[in-house]
Amino acid sequence: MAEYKRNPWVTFLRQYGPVAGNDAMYDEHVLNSARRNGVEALRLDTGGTLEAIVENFRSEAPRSVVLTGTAGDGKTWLCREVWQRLHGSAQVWASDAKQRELPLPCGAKLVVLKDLSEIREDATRHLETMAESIYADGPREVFLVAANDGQLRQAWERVPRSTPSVEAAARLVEDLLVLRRFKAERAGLTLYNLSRQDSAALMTRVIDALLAHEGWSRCEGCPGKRDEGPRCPVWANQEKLRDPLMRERLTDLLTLCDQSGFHLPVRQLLILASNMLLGHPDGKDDLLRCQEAEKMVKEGKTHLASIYRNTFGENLPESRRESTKVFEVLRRFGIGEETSNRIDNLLVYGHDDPELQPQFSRLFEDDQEYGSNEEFERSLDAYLEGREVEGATPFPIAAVAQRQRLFFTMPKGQVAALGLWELTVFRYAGEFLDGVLRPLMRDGADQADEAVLRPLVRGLNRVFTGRLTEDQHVLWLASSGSHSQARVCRIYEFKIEDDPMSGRGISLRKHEGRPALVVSFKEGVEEALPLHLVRFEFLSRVAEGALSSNFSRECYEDILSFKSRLLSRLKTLQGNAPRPFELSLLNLDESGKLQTQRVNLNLSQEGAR
Amino acid sequence: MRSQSLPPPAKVETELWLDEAIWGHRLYDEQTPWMTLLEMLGVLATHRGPGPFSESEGFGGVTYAPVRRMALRNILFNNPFIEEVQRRGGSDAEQWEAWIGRMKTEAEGLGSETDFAYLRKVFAAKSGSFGEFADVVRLLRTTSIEGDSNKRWTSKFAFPYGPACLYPDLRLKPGGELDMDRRFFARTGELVYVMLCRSERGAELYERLKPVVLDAAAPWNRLVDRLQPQAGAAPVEARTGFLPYARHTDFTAFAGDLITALDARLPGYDVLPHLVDLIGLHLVLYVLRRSAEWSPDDGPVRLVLEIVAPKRTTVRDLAIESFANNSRRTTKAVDGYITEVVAESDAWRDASALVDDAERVEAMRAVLRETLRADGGKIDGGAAPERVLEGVREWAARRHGQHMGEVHAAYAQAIGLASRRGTRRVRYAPSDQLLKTLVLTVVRERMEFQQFLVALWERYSMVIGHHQAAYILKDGESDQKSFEDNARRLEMRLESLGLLTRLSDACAYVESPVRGAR
Repeated sequence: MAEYKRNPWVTFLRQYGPVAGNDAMYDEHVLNSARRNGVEALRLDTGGTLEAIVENFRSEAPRSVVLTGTAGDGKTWLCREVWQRLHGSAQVWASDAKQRELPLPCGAKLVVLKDLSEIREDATRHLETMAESIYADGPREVFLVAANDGQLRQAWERVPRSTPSVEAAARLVEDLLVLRRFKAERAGLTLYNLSRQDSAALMTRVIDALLAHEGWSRCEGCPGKRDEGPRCPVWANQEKLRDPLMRERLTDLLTLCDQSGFHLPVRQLLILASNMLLGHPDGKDDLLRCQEAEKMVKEGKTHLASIYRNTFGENLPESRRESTKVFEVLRRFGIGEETSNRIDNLLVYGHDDPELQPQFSRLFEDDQEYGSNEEFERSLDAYLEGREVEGATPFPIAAVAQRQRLFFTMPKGQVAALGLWELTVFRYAGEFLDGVLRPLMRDGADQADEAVLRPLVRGLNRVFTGRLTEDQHVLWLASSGSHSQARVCRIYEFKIEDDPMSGRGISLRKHEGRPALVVSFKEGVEEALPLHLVRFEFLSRVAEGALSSNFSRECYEDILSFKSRLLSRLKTLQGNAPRPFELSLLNLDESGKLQTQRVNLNLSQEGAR
Repeated sequence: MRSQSLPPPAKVETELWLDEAIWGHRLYDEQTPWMTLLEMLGVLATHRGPGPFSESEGFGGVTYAPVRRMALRNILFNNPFIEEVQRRGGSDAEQWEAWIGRMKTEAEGLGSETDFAYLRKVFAAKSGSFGEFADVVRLLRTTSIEGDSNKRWTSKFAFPYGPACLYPDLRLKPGGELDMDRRFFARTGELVYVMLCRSERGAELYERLKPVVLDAAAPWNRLVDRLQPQAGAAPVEARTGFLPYARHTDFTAFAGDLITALDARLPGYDVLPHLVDLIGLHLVLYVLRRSAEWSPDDGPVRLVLEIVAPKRTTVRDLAIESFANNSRRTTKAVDGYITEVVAESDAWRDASALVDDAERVEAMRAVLRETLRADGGKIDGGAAPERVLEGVREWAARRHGQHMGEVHAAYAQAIGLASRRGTRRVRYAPSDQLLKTLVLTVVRERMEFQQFLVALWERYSMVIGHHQAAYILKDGESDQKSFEDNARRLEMRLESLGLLTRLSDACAYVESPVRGAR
């Protein structure tokens, strides 16, 4: 057979992969490599952000812009794009000038500081000017500043509080930072926090840009480019990445990461995409080049290039996997390790059991590359016969790869029956996506469904009282008498029942941009518990079974402090006026409902001691 | 610089005045921080001073008159009969009668006042009222302070729901007489009270404590009150112990922290465990800082905190060392005190220069009586000045080692500042509860993480991150990364306690658990 072609695009793609790179020079580095390989660098759509910034600087009254975010969020890249669109010279950009300036159409001067840490000494002077310009009418200078939030905060801290503007601007920047919004605007300043971008949407843009790149056309004529095996694993991977189901599962995972506060910057998403396509433990730096792809096919090692494994960095040595954020985050789902009896039965016996065989075949056997193939069968046979076979992957390891693949390929129709999310640590993630995130965050529903809310209320009741109650329509607040944070609380303090007339009740809705359980004492008096994946999972598990504080100590603490907030709010509402003392104990009846038992006390004759 | 101290009181009852001169009379290792809070509240509730947290002129402390509440204490802690009566069953009235009858003979420390029939009026006359009484007693027992310890029943305490719950620790003598033997209320709470009197913020503190623990109308206080007969035995007066400093910035900071914690307006009594932690922490710092003034060779007080790591790290070793060094400080201070006040005094030199043995002995004793209020009968060493001094040092060290020398270790562990977790040796390794207390007092709304570390260093001499550890790094005893990792572990712990928001890898904020509520 003819040799595989060498595609420079594939070589270039490695630049984005999990290879140690120089952070500060990343943008330049990628540009140089593209030039060297004679390919176009990726052009990522910013979802309108770039255009909005350019528009701002072209307007009559431009605001200063701060781009912040964590390393790899594309701050420098965005700065450069803005510079180019405003017709800044490429030479000036590439020079090591400390600051770059451009005249703007409105007559003001734009000062671009692409890296605050680079200009340490001068930063203070610039920020002083910027503070004045933020609060001035028609400032003569406006700024475009890129810095991560730590640098930004420190730089502002170093500025002497010489004028009210400096004081105000420093405060403003901090306030905008902790708002946790993608875009925040006040006075003459717009702050874009690139760490608040939706990773799932970003990933879609990354994959679109990658798959649409003309570089793939250079595979034309390569013997590895075939519709079925044996074929080039890189080609196979890009085909599989086009599968809408695979992409949906991947973006679901990223949505869940986002909602849990694990933001993945665009550079990490590029690492992920590059590794998904090229990953293989035997490639140079664990990534395949064209010549290696050919070698792996010849040696029967195609299955180790599985895009499903690569998604979790299985091709990488453990240390690199752990130090690469995107893999560290995605591996928290435990995909591959987590399983159910149903799925493992299918994996172990599906091949031979006539009853399971049809399903097994549909799920695993139509993918000769990464599904059940000869390699897998050898592992399985060895496992079933209880012997070791030289060269065969131990079955537990082979099973990990199959479960990872199954997560991305399980047809939608079988998700419920097979328990897709049982393949993850978060068994309730599916309900969180379908019952909370999609309706509230995407479809703009007012409230989540009752059926989703009620088990969560049950979970809250169990944590609040320390009893295994079934109550889910009333929220019970209890204490131990002396301490509201005690594990078991037998003293009734208050209960909240839904009462639409007074505005009292519990709902699951969007609150300050995030899904939250909102407890309302009356119209306008409410406390919210933001609900992310881990809390949802915790409350759902508690609602289903016993109090599993070992699942997440953090959640347990969070929910107790929520109770503390509710009790404080209650105290404020009730005011300081003396109330008759009522002592009620909370008892659990046979059906698991909480009942109050009033203790009748006669406290009227009080001694004067 | 050494803190300016007060002369001892005119009448000294101890055999030696040394620990007392440095730290006061007295700090006591067996009095847990909770007991200290209760004793302090007892003084506050029954003080005879010019006002709450205020002392008459002359720094002589205050008189107070704790109420003994023996009926309540019998009901809660000397009463296994409730369960027994309930087990036997019978009508409500029968149960009441059986129990009241039993208590008549079994209650102790009440003299002839052993009739508990008044309780029947407290619980509405209906069936099951005895059961309700039993429920209430059980509840109060579950919330009591050290109620499930195996201490004598006269050293168990109701939760401080209000003034009706406060009473002193007592000993029941074989004859039935009661005595404030200072076993678990060993005056440490009195000292705390006097410190707060001298904090210049006593009035503010009182305003905030009052609604939490001194409100007679508070529901739970009224309940506990009603469990007691209308007239109890007359209170017996006591006087607070000696505190050697007329004022101190440490006292002001102490009161300030208590005020901040109270300002958080936590629900119910949730602030009390935090106050207990703060009392323990400030006493630990007080002990160490006063020690350092008498043994300056050990350098300024620093507490190297290990945020518990899964395995041994250099920070752990340094935390163990830091704890051990600090534990030794008090003994060194005692020694330093003797050296400076006795051995290097002109009076001592003159006395030891006398030629005549008898005269010299007499003169040396006079000096020891004057400087240390030493009980002459306990001075050994004959006529040789060196041996006499040696004897005094040993005596002082022995006496010190019994209780005062253990206060640092005992309190640090009691409030979760130090522990053995994961090791055989004690070191500073803060518990989650203590971290919550620290956040509550240091952070008003939010504070950048590195600033938080600086604040812990400035206020409590705590070394966690590499900036605070600069003095160690300079000596090459550890590396920057170990302390950075230590700080990172703290970040993660705070995050898991819901007390920290990370904006990015480069920036995190510690957030008060009651942000927005103040």
